[in-house]
Amino acid sequence: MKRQSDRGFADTEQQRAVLSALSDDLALPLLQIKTTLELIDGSKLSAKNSLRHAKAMALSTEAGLQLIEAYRLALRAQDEAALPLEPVAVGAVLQEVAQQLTPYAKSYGTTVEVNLQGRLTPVLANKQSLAAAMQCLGASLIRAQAAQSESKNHRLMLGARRSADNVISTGVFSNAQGLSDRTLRTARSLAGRARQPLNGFPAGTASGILIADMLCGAMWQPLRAAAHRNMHGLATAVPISKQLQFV
Amino acid sequence: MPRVLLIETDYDLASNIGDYLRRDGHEVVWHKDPQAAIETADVVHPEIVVLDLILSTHSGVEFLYELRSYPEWQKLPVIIFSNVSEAELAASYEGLAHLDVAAYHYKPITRLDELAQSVNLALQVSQL
Repeated sequence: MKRQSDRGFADTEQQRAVLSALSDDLALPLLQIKTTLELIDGSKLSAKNSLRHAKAMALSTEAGLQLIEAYRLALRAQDEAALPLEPVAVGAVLQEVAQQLTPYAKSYGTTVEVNLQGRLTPVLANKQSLAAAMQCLGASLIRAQAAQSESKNHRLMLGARRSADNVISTGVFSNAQGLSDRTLRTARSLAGRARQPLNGFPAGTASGILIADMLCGAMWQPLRAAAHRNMHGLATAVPISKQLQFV
Repeated sequence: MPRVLLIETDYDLASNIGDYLRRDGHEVVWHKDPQAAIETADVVHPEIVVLDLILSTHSGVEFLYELRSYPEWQKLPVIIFSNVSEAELAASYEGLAHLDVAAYHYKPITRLDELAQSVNLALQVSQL
């Protein structure tokens, strides 16, 4: 029998807890925009610097809106009947997400890679949920590892592989420290009650991970700690559709 | 030019805060990691610290306890600039009164010019 904190977010109280974590984390992009506007207010900026600040604010805005959209999708995903399933090529989704994440990653000194191992046949999934889960998990890990290290160069990997027992696991991996099944379980129980549900992860990172957890839990399995090509992160597993193997 | 040690985990926020304080006539040394900040303080001898409380490896409160454990830094002015309100902090800790915090600013409602004024005031007081 699984503990509540192993089952991901299924009930209203935990949805409310994630909403509370989300409201904490949305302060980050808003503060980024606020301080940028205060900095440029009254100052004479060159066209180049004006453009740089405008791009930074655009990235902050997109990051905040994507988090909100992912949360809304996660709420809809709790109702299985509302989510249409379709054949999804996991590799293609990861490539799209990598492309979307790249400008944001660059602002945090991070290069994004996609690494696919084994024959990844299509799976039955909700493409929008999978993309949103990988996107908000990726954005969180980008911020987390940038905050944990004084290094100016980081890597983020979107990975997928097929295991011997015909399960495709897919997730996001980085050099962020402190991710384990235990810390994730603790985060699920602390969401909404602690400012830092994920110990060692800075403000602005936890809700993206928890929302991705909700999305994956609604589709297949909640996130689990995993490794991929010597990097650590979180992944979910999806069974291969026997029918789709022949498509 | 007074030297500010800024401890803030987010690059964009740190960049904006640092740029504003530099424009206000300060030199700014930035660290995300409080341990690195302690080591740097030994080398660069800041005149004031601007500190967030929610950090990655250690909390800002832990950093403050460590800072104040060194005799040479017991009087170093520290300004908190955090997303945690003072009321919320008081609910978790006994407050920061015993850690000699010069000013406490809540990020959502504090403008950068107010932060800069607070830095200047704390520096003036520390020189009395």
